Amino acid sequence: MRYLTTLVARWRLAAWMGFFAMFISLTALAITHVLDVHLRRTLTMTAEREKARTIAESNQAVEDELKAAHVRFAEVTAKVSELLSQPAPAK
Amino acid sequence: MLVFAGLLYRAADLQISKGGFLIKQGEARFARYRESGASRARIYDRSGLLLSASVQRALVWVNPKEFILSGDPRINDVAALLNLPTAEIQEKAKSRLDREFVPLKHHVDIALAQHIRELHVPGVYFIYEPLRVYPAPFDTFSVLGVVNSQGEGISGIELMLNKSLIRKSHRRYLTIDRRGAIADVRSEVESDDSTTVRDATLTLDARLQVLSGAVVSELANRTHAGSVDLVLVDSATGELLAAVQQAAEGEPRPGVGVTPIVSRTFEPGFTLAPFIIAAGLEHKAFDVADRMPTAVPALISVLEQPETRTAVLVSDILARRSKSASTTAGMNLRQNDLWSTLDGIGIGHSTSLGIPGEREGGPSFPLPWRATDQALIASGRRVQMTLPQLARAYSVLAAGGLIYPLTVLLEKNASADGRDERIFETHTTKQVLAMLRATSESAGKKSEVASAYPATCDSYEIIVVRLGVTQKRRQAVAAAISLGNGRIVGAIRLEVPYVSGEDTGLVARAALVKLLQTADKLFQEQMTLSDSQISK
Repeated sequence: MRYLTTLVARWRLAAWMGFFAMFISLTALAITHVLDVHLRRTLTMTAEREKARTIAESNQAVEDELKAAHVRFAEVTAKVSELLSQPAPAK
Repeated sequence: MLVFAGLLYRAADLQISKGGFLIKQGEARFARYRESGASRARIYDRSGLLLSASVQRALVWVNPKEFILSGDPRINDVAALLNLPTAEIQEKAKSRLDREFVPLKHHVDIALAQHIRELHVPGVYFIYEPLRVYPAPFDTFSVLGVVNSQGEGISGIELMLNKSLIRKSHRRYLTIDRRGAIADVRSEVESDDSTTVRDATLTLDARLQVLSGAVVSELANRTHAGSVDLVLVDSATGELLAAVQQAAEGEPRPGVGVTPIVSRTFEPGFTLAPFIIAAGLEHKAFDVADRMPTAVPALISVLEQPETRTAVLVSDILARRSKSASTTAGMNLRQNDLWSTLDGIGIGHSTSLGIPGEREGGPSFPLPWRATDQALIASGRRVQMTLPQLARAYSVLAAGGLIYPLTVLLEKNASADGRDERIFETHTTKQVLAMLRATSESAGKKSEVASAYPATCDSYEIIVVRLGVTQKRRQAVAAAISLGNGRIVGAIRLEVPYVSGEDTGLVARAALVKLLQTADKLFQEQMTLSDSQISK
């Protein structure tokens, strides 16, 4: 009987220890998971923000060039209108 | 113990034997490829002026369920930033609750989209999308074509250069969480070989393109023209300098892959006459001093307005615009000689421009021809050709009998030495040019509209124009050669529904003269064509 009681006590102890170990592991896993998701999301957001900044800079360069081309086209159009409105030379 | 053993077996089974399948299924639910949209390289004209470039913009979209359920008051801020009414956004989301992707606004500035994202309103996201921008869309649209919302060319030069212009058609392999947000960027895949991608430099001259557009527009307004096409070519190199197409009012937009300037064919009419005469002189079928009867009985049945029944000197056929004499000249040619001449000047062949949708045209009848077939073909009817083909044919006369493949890419043309082919002997083309030169003083007085474009040619080495009117289709075609500054050859096609008392051929001719005169002034005041090429 005494042997049986000791055995049960040991099993209970082992069970409790197992339960705590599992609890601690699961908690650690949950914390790691939350941290991982948060970190990934933060890193992704940072990367996206950086990408948006790079694209905006690249866009700016193209838009500057487009603006210059637009001005040049406006000059050419004005010149063409002026030349077209001039009377033709007499024969 | 048995239960544990069962669980262990099941765990091993799921992890090992069915692991691959389950991972794939999981990824199929949470991993997505997202196309970032093709980013296209730029297009420049021959002098380095930007004609077309792409910028990145954002498409702001919502996941309706998430968006509606959140009831976030910052929706008002999003609406204000997008300049859209809040009610409209909410209505759009509510009406499409069964979907996961509802676009709110296209082409939003990236900085603004980033600002919206940082509001962290649930269900509001954006993706990048390309926007093609043209500094002078009205002047260049007809030849450059258009791109679709994915940044892929669907007509004109944009379609032609799809392969070499698309820079980064890359796909991003993402992990998406339940709410549709990006949880992780797994990889970015470049789907095209970016080493072959480079900006394109065209042979087009922006100044001539603008000038052509202005002349076409003025002509269309004055004559109430249905549609007008115009092409300018450098006769010494075969380079396309300008191409303008003005559609008729109410004309349906061209479909995908169709570029009207190269796909619309017409009957050249009398514009074919110089080549008939050149062929006759070349094959010694007749001489410049021969007289061509204008009343061949076989022709009267096929010509709408036969000339008075007198003979015309071959050297006067062009000056007198004698369709009958020109046709008779064509009847004097052997069929094979006439065929080889039409074939040689490029009728029925691609111009090599490479613009998708180009048609080749050609004579309507195969050899051997009956007499009436040959008469119809010699009179420029029952022959179909495109405007670039007509310009190239006149370039043969301007280039001393050599024909060059047309090109629209400057770098392509740099390696095109030795691609010319002789069609006529130089002395033949000189004879025909002399005949054409004699015609350049006759036009410009016959109509009120035409007199608005007087055909003076004092400031030119040579400027010659021929015209042909196919009355059946109520359209006029004219071609002009300027051997002055620029060596430009021009061709114009004008479709007029009804113009009372006007010779539409003369109007078309006069417009070309005006264009070439103004081009000459433009070159004198700024830089010459060759200088422009050197500066590039």
